[in-house]
Amino acid sequence: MADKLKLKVTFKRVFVKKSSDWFGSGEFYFIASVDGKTVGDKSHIFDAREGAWIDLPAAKWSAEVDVTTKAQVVVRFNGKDQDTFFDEDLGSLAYAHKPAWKQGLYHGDTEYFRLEYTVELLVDGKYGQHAPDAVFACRATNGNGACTTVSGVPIVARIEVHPVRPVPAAVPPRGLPAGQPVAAVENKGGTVVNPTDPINVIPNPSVIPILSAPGGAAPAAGAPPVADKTNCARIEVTFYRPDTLKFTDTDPRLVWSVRPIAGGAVSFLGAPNGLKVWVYGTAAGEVALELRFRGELMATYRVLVMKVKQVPCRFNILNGPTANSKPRSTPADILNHLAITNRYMRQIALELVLDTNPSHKDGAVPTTTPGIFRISVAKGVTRNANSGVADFKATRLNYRPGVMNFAYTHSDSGGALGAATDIPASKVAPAAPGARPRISDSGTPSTSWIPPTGVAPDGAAGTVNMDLIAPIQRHGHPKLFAMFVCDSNGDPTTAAGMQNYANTISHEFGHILNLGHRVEGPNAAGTGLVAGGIFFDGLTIPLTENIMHWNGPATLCQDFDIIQARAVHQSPLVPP
Amino acid sequence: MTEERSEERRRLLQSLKADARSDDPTLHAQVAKRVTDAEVLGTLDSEADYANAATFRLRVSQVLEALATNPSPSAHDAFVSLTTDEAFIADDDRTLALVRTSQHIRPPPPPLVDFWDRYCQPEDGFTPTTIKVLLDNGTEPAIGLLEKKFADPAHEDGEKVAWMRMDVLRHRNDVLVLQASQRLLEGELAEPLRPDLVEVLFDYKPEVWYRPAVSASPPELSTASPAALDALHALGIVALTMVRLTDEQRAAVRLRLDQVEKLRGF
Repeated sequence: MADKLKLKVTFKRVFVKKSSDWFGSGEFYFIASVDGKTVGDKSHIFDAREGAWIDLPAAKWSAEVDVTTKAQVVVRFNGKDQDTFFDEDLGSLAYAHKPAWKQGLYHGDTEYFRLEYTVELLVDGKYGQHAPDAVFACRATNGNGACTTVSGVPIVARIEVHPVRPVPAAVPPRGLPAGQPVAAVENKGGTVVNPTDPINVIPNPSVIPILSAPGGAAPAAGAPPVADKTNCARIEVTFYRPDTLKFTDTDPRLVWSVRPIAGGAVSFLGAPNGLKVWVYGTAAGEVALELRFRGELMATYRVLVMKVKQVPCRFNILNGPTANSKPRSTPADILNHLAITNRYMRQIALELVLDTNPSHKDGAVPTTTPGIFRISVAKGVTRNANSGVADFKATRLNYRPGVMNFAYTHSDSGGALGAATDIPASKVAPAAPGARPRISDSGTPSTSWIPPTGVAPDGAAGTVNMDLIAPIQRHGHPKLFAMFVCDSNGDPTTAAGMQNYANTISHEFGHILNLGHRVEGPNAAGTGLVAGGIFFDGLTIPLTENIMHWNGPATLCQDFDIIQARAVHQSPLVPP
Repeated sequence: MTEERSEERRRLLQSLKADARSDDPTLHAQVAKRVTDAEVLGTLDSEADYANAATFRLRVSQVLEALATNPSPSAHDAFVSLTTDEAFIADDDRTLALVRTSQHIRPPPPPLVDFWDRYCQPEDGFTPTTIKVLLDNGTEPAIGLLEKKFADPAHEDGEKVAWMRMDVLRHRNDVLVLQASQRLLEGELAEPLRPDLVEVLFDYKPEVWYRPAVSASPPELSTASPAALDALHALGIVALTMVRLTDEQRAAVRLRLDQVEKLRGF
């Protein structure tokens, strides 16, 4: 529902050109109306001296009008000079104000006086003479806001909250008018993720985590942590135009609200206003966050609401016998890589936590960090190792059944930065024996804004289907879930290196959770590697920004989307 | 690194590559000598470069490549001299670079075959690359050594299956590879591995063979030479008559034999 549109007409003052009386000053009085309603006080007689102004008390000489449905507002003003026998008419003025409503100082003249009056428009709850590009009225039409400024200038406003970060270069049609482009404000970049960043550092996740409401008693054991700005989902506007709107992060003109879908419920932490809001879940399901400007729905952000699930994991550092057959990563580096990985995984409500079970085998030696071990191995097990071998030794050593097992190795003979080697079957059943499991998502906007997106003027969103990876389990190890990560990710201690390691881990862990490649191979269609697309998830959007892109860089491939979030929570590795 | 040092490195690399590409035997010998010098090696690739050698190729590998791709016998002699140079092969990353670039040396002289053999031992950190190089080299001595490696029980069966699915597959139209495969099926390949070799030569099952980060694809049968088609046909007969195959594997062999016969106009 659009905001009410209101304006205020104030008769400010009257300049006496001629008093009409032969001697001395005149005795003027005025009869005024705005939109047919009397304004002012005609019994108030003003002393009218030629060449002087008569100030009209604003309290009595102004009127507000709800113009939401008005085609015009007529302002009338009639002056009279009181006389002994009969009052002399000093002339009448009438002006019709019509949409687009314009603020301003108006004047009109008769032979005897000049009238000055103002029209003020109600903007953000205030009358006054606003900046000329302040928006007075807005009407959502075909995904955009057909707005008028207080100066009466029409503008087309658009606001987007894209679910993919970084925002892909190709966005759905915006339906903006042709001609001279209007400057826009974009918030579309990737995120430099550091291990000490808040867990919610990546904005616009596909899942809002369920957290305990702040302000109450301390959460009970096992309950989610209390929501604060470091753990809530950060939802951010990614695009708006024109830039003259100058929205701020906490702008009261932008009003967010929640529309439950499928049982989901969320609350805002802080005011639900502005370009950026913090949201935490209170009930699992799905919601739409709606963003309104001037009361008009301008953008919708669809998101799942889930508890954050913890996946226990252990790490084995495989050291060869020579200096250059040892991975450079130390347990401290691994903790940093794990921390960054968890900032990626937060988007889909997952968290890898070190498995504290101390059992070990295969010559593994526990480090001082529970869950991280070192193993001395033959050179070829860790250096230039052949991960094409079905019973790949590096990821089998010292594994613990049922938890996620990571092996840090020196290098892979095929040049891989890392690879998932042991992938359990998703709980999503395939449609037919031998077929790959498939998962679907419906809703508006579509997951990753895959066309048709449902973001007007684009067409209504349809159902998106995504193919999952079939299980890959080596013989005799049904509970082995594993991947390796190589030294070729770079210096494990630098910011760029750490993000590379974490990105590789997130990607390969995605495979272990049955996610396929989002865009696979270098061909123009973006589909299908040489192996015939067997690890392709069937979707080609976003082109490069998804973490499951087959080979994109960590600075770009950072996103998990709604359909992937649905899929990963069907892995047997993820607790129910 | 200072700009000066960087420029010195660039000049040194350019000069070594130019000499390696030349047709002057003296320069080839000098290149081989220079890249065994610790100072030259240190200028070409810093300690940090060696630490990142798994990510980025060493610069010295560009010099090796220039020697290996030079058709001149003296360039190949210079290259091969490095395979026994203790200083050069003291570092695993340089040795790996040597293995990788040696694929271009055709025909490989016996010392190079010896080098390949030395760097194709179980769990040595070189074998997967050496196997790939043997197949990419594709000459009789290279494929002969490959055959030997397939027959060597010291290498685990799982490793051999991976060689088949990654490397033999890409060369399954090569006559020498097909002939070697036939000999392996008829003789020295461990029996449990024979159906795997047949499968790789006659079928393609990426969904069973590969993981998300590792895959390969075979050449089109239509690109095979008549001699290769003949070799594949003969191999198919051997597979059907001598190898214990599943029904699915037999069907794959028969299907491919039909395709071969069509292409050969039988």
